[in-house]
Amino acid sequence: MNWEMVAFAFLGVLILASGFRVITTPRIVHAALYLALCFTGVAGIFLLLGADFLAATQVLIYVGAVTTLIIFAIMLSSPPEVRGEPARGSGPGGGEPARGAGPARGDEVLGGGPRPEGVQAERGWVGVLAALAALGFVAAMGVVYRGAGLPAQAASLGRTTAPLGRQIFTTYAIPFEVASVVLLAALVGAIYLSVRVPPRPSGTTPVSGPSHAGAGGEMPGEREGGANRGTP
Amino acid sequence: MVPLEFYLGLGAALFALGLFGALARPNAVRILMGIELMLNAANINLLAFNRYLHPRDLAGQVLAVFVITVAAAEVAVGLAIIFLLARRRHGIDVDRIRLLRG
Repeated sequence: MNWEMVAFAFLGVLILASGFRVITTPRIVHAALYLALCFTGVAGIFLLLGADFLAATQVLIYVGAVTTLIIFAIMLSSPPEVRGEPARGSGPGGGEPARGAGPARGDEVLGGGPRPEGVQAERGWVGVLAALAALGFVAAMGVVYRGAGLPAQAASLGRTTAPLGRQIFTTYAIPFEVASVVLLAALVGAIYLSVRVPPRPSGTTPVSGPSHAGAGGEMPGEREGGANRGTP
Repeated sequence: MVPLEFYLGLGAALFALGLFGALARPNAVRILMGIELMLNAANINLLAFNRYLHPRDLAGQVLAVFVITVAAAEVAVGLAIIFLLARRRHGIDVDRIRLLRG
């Protein structure tokens, strides 16, 4: 039992506990904060694995950017839950939903009214099937790892930042460029999707935004339909 | 020295948690959180295999960098879609989203 094992045990318990809370806590803002804690633990695991650059990247991107983005999305998409109003369907208790009061309690705020009966029953089966899938995955991985004959000793990596940069820009230059194009396309798409279109009065020219494509696509169709109606 | 199996077990457990979260929850934001957990578990596995099996080249770490890039792109587009759904459809419950249902 050396210090590395102690650190691994601490980080492993931290990661699994916070990951468990991510999927079980009824309040979605708490889930986002537990997610940040889980990402921080994963960064610690990266340090234990000798990947210093990736640990810093993990903290910067996941803990810094992704968690902030998720909290932004929660704030923008579900104001009633953020304001602390009682979840619809969580019983008369109000404020804090009861512990273990069903896995989907805190999530029911966001739609209008309860789900249809068939969907509600379906949800129960989905939970059971998801648990079976998760346990089956762990069992399959256990079988695979047991028969793999894995080495117990690790080599020291040293500092990884300089060789990582050299590899990215020489051996993996083309995947790196493709990844940058993917990131650019995703960001442009995200901006395009979330741009707010002002309600335009009828009779004016369509403005840019998501409604532009629909309006532009309908106009020729209408004209074509009118011409077809005229010909016979 | 921590044996490799411990890291792999941690990765599998975290992946299973993320898989359960992504499959069992009806909230779209929580599904994205589950996907992020799964991507992190995959990164743990990549780095562990890189350290224990091929410590000379850093292919696993380069791949983890690409996974982080794709995860950032995925979460940006996913949250934009969720935002759009919340604005237009008044809800991000995936059981009620039937925009593409024929």
